[in-house]
Amino acid sequence: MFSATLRIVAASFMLAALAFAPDSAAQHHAGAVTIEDPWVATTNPGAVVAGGYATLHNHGAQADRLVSAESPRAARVELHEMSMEGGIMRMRQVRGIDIPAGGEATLRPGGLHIMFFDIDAPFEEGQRVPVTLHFERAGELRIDFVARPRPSPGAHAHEH
Amino acid sequence: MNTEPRRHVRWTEWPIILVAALIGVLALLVTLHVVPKLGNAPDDNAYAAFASEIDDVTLIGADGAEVRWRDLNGKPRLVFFGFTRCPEICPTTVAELSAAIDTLGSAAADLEVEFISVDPARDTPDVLAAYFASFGPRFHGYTGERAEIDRLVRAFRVFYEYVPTSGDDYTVNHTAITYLVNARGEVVDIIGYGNPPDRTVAQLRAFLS
Repeated sequence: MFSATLRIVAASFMLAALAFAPDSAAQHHAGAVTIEDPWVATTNPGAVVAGGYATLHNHGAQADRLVSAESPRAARVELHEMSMEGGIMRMRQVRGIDIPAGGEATLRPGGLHIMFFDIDAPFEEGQRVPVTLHFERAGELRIDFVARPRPSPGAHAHEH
Repeated sequence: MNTEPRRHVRWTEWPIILVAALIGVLALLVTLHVVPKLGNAPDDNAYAAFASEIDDVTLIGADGAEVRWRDLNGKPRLVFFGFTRCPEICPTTVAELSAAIDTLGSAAADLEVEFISVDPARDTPDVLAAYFASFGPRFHGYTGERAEIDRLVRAFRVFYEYVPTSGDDYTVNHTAITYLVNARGEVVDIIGYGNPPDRTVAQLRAFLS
């Protein structure tokens, strides 16, 4: 009798703990969207901006769109696209990143990315940076982006 | 206005026309095959000539002190333009140059690295000092009056422009090239963004030898 009550109390505590779990308890999917390999580039001391990358898969039958993002580690998060033309680096803010039905969107160095402004401290290797992604259809998704060094763009170019 | 009456080409003129045509074809081949290859490297004359034009450009170092461009001469330098709120190109360039210099070891003992901010309003000496603190004494950040920086920008044929983002913020599009400047202040080679690391090391080794 006593042990049964104890079990119920323990179970309710566990449920409560789950309900109040910190934001860093990351999901990997929202609706039909799953996130593969979310990562942020490590930053040097003194740097106040950072880039975040991931592959967004849409398993649904309807197209979706990443419309915004936020993080407790940054004052502001925007969606940006970088390009290189004739030795000039160009950066522009984008309103959203489309993920086709049954397809994916790749956020990577040199292309589409999540841009963190005024980060609270350097992103150090291995750190987990909590990010909330907002999708037009799939809704909200909280996920940790793991910090690692950005690969050399020259080494990357070799592979292609 | 050609007032000469039309006439037929005489047979004695054909060899001359043939030679002229051959010279024309040769010139075309040279234009097509040689000039583009030269285009990959900076035009030595164009870059060498600018040194005197920008000698008196005044910059402000990360320590807040003024420095003249000519005072930076005397050592081999790697010069590039950027801004510290640049998420990818600038930190990657700094990291790549730092790694190449580590590989070169004592061969790069005299080499200096100079970052010229094209966002001087936000890149104050304090911001630059914090940004380069972890890279050691050979890395220097420079800011200054925008008009002075623009003189360097024109001399190096660098492009930059401010692009508005959310709120009142802006980002900066800019040339992502590192210029290899010799002790006399002349550009002798360039390294583009995305250059394979082993090629960067080879270019720096040739530059420093």
